[in-house]
Amino acid sequence: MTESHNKTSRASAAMLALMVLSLSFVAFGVCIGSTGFENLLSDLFNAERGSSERMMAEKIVWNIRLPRTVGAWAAGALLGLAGALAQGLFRNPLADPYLLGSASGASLAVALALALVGGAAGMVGGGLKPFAISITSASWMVRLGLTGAAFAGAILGVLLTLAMARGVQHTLRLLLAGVVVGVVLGAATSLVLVFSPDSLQAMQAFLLGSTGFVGWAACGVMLCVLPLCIAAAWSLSRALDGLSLGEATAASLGLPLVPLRAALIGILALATGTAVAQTGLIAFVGLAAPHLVRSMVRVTHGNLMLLASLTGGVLLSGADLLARWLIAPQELPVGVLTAVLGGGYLLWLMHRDSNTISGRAA
Amino acid sequence: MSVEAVSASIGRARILRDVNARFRQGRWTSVVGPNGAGKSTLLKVMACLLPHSGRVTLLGKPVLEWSRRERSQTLVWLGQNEAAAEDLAAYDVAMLGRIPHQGWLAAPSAEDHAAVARALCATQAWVFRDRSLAALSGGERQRVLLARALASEAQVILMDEPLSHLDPPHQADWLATVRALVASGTTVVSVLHEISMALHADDMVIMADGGVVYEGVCGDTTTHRALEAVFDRRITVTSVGEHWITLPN
Repeated sequence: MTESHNKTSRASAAMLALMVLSLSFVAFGVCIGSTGFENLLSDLFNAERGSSERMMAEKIVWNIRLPRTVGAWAAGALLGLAGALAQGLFRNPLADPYLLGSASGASLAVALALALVGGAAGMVGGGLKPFAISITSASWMVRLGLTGAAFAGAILGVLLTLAMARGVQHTLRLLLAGVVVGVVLGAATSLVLVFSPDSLQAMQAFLLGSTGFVGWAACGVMLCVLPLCIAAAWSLSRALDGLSLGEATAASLGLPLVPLRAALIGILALATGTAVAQTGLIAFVGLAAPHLVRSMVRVTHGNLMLLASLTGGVLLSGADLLARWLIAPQELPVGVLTAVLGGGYLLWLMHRDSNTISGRAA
Repeated sequence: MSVEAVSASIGRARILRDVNARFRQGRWTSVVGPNGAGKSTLLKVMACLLPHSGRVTLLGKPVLEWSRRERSQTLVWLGQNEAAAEDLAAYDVAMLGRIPHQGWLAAPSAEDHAAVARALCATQAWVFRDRSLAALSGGERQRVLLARALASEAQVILMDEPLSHLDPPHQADWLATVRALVASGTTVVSVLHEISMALHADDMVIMADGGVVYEGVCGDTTTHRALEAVFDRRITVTSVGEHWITLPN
């Protein structure tokens, strides 16, 4: 058997393992929560049909835990895919999905939405409290408003970056414009929060990222966008392989660079914007997922994107489980966990690589 | 292939000024000259990778009138310091040379695989075809990138510093590969800093200060004198057996 067959089977094995892990985490996600594993199962299967215990158990499983767990997986998968796309597009292993201004755009939009409605409620002494919005609000209208604002903000952030970079012709200019937009919109968000201190707490939840309030609607949106993005990204994977030889070589291979970059950025913005809108800013998943895949198996971009997507899903649903379990019945913000675990992983990676480099030098 | 009155700039710097040169079909032309003469820029202009004024003709037709796909099937460019796709296996990199021949979503055909195998064998890279580029030495990597260019099986091959990182035995292999390509009717244009290797070509284009100062046959003594002049007579072209080499003065 040749090494290329081994490589293919390693990629298939990794894919299978990630799928099994995904299903296991979703199953665990249904079982873990403040009510506890045994109580819930016993209520669900042993309590009399129609009894209040059974109805409560069904409600917890179907309306809270299942959409939350599936949503966490889908958001992670979107971020993992976006991370692989960003790293391929910018030919930089440190590129992450938030690099094009989507995170800062979404943050500013959410801060503005909170300040305009939530802040106003605070300012008039709570008279509008029933309509005040917060990141933890369960109201459909409110959730749609916040996720809509976050999505619109993410897309506007990317468009602003594109405008500043004067299109998609130059990758380095795009990268710099993304950094500048991130800083400027971040400053604007801080300014909005200074004038609207009532929004701070809700905003903090958005900035830390949370899967706690993902319902079936959010799940539906993410599960519709995910296959679309994967299919579109996969269709461009050979072009991404070509791009990895440098832009001049890619152009000499006949690849239409400008439409290609525009399409990749469109997919990147859609995947990131959709995830950010539903879960807030979850750090490191998009950055770490492609790295984890590369540490397991060396593959072309087609397989990398599929595997990074699955890995992102596993990472975020795993982090969500930990966030619920570590200090149960309290919960940690999932974004804090991904930042700590992802940051730790990257530090370890840097440490390992520096050891390898010193080893080679010796 | 020919360039007529070609000028090109990078940023505000004008690199090429009214360049005229002819690269005869089925022959190997080496482009030489001091650093900053505009050799690499000329190759990029010929590959349509830089905006330019003037006229570049490929197989009798202005290069800009070719469709992107047809042009990339006919002409291949191997750049200097080409970025390396570290994660890809050598075989996958060579397969990228087949992109111009493949449908957008189509899997590589048997013909694609055969072309890649031929190219990897020609550059002695077949043995490490399954290793990722990150695991290869500079010379091995250069041979894979050359295989990528050969896999396209284009009629015109433009190579910018193809010998960088190659040790003498592999430079000799490269020479044999180019000779075989030319014998099969391929036009090869290479920018080379190793003047002794460049003198193995059929024709030579000598450049300085963004222009062509001389065009001629490599074995011609007039070419040798022009070569010595462009390097301020700090080199001498001399013969060793049937070959010409340069020695520093």
